[in-house]
Amino acid sequence: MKPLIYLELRQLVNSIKNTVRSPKRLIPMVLIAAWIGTWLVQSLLLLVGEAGRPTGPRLEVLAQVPIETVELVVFIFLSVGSALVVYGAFSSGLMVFSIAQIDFLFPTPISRRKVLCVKLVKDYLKYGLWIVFFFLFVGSPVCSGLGVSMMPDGLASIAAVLALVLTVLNLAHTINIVFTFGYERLRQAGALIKAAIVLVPVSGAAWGLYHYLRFGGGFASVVSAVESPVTGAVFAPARWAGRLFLAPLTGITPEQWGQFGLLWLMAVGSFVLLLSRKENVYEPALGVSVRFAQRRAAMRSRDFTDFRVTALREKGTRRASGVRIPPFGRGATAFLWKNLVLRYRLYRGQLALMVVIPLVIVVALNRAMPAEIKQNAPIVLAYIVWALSLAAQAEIRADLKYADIVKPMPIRAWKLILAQVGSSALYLTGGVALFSGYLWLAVPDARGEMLVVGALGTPFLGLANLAAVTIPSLLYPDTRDPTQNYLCGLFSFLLTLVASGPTVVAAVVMLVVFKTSAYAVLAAACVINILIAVAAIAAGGAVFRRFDPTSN
Amino acid sequence: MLRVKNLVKYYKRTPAVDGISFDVADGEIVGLLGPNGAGKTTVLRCITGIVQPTDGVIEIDGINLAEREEDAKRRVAFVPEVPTPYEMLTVTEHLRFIAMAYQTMDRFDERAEALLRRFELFDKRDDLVLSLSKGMKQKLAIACAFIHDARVILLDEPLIGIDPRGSYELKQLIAAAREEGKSILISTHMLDTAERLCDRIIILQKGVIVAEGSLDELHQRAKMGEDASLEDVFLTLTQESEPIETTDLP
Repeated sequence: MKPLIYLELRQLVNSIKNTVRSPKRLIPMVLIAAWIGTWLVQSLLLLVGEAGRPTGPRLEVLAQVPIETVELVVFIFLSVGSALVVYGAFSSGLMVFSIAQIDFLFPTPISRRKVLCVKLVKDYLKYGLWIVFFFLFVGSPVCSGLGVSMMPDGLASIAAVLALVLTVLNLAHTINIVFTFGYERLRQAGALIKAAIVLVPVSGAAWGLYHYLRFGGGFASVVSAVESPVTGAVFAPARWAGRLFLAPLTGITPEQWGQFGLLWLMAVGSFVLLLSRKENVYEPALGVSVRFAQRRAAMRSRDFTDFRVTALREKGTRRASGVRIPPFGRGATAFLWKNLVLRYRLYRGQLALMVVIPLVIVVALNRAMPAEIKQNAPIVLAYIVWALSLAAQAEIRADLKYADIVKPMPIRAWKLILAQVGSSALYLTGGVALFSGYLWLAVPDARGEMLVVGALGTPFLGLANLAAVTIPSLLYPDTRDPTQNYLCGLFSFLLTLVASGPTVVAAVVMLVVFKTSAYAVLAAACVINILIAVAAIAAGGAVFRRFDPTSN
Repeated sequence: MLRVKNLVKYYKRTPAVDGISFDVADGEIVGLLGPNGAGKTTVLRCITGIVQPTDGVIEIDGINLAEREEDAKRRVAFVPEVPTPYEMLTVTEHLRFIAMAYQTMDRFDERAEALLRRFELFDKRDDLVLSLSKGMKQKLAIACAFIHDARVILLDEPLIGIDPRGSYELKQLIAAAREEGKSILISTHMLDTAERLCDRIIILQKGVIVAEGSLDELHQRAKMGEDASLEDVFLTLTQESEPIETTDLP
């Protein structure tokens, strides 16, 4: 155990030292600590109050929510969460180790049980802290609003929820170790247990439906569904923890103290069961830890392309499927094809969402907008173009990872930038067309000159904006550096304003001063934005010529 | 001595290693070669106890790994492919942790200093691992493997990413370990290194051993003259020179 304690302590001390020594890390940490500290002090004051009395203002609206409804919601949350964790444990590992642990700790002669024990205790401390934070940040103000004191019953609430979480996780870890180990004889048993986990909520729903058909009453049917014999028996621990969760509001009966004891007995029992397993826990941890490390690296680097690639790899994608985009183009235009193929493959899984979400937004806009301003709804197209241009910056920076492949190619820099901007502009035009179509269909008041001009003109505005954001992306390419991320975001924002400015000014002058038609504004805006795009692409090309792929 | 008998490892229903047996005698260096996905890393992971074999026996210095895992692991040193050391430890702390884990703290400072000087890490001894380059991390992993007195040394692609000086020092250490009667198993794609360094070669393909023996014996097996390189022998025995199957990517 001594080497493990040494390892954990040294890492903790070094992390603190490393943070304190670097102002870049220290300042955000101090700000976050101050924010959390303020919350904590406020919460603790609410918690204790004067001689244990609550001090916050009473919120009548909270008091009007029936406690049975809250209990039901908490129970559903805890039971569904528990079922999902246990179900998932049959196929994918939950025990995540670092790659350093795999490389350097797993081969050592330190017993697996000790390694597992330290890992679990660390995890439990983390979960315990999260639960305490939840009660302090959410539970304490709610109790204060209801005019009740969170103490001392709040401690039992925290302990009960923690006991449930530990029981579920210990059980899930045990299942994962046993059922992913490859015992042939358990394969069928695993399938049966998984089916049973699915059948429990199904049986509950059937029970609720039966109740509804026989007696009617929506809420009563939901209550009967979750209190059906099977659901009630299987999810009894979630029910106990759910009731104890509300202990500051309801108090604790002697029966509930018994359930509290049972919850902790289960937590300790499941912990002992998990530690008693003889199977090699390192093996199921191996795959999930590597996947987790890849996902975290992609998230840290803010590389969305990498993030999507990691997600596809995790899904087991091996072959290119779907629509085949035939190769086209020579030189720089081949990049148009490459970018189209890559983006299609990366985001194919999201295509349905990309089609549905704009429709939801348009329908919501139609409902929320007052009738007299619905004719101005096409203005939203300009906002969409601006937002998509800023979002495209992430793609451009991700593509710069391949600069050492692209730069040696016998293609002029501005042509490469044009191809990059052009492929993003194609996608953006697709988005504008989709939104415009939805506006035409779902917002009848918006059908008019403004929608036509917006649908035809905003892609040109997008082209200028996309060309403009390419420059800060090239100047600040390192997605892992927070300073570069900040500067890139700031300058992209400013440059999109600069790029959009002439169009706005021209539109105002032509419409207000010269009273020209909207179509004349459209023609002028197209010319202006093409000129801005040409200038920005030329500038981007010049920056790309000097771009050093080996330097950050 | 390392003895692997009828080692089988299945991942779900896919065989990664399918009934292989081999020995690495005391004072012997054995090269484990094979194309990508042949099962080399799985074999090393089984020997280090990271992965549990589906079947078979692994003995380290006569100790059955399955029966006395901790005793067996104490006798093994392992350098992983592309090592990722603990970033929030300093170089010395990393070595100290490994020495503590293997319970070999005798003359630690002296041994650590010698290894760090050998791999040009002495000046970096108080730096956090996160500040090291890829090559330096590889050197640290090698130093960690040699900080304890292992009887069996396993190296997974140890020469990739380190500079010529580091490479030279590692070869010296391996030669010294052989002189001390240790068993060394090196998994590598660097055929020229294997040719010069190893006493015996094992060629693995699709989880089974396709050839095993000294370079001369492999020449005979491949029906090639003595002037043929290990690369020629390897390509013949694994038939890698055949055209590669095309995929259906557009």
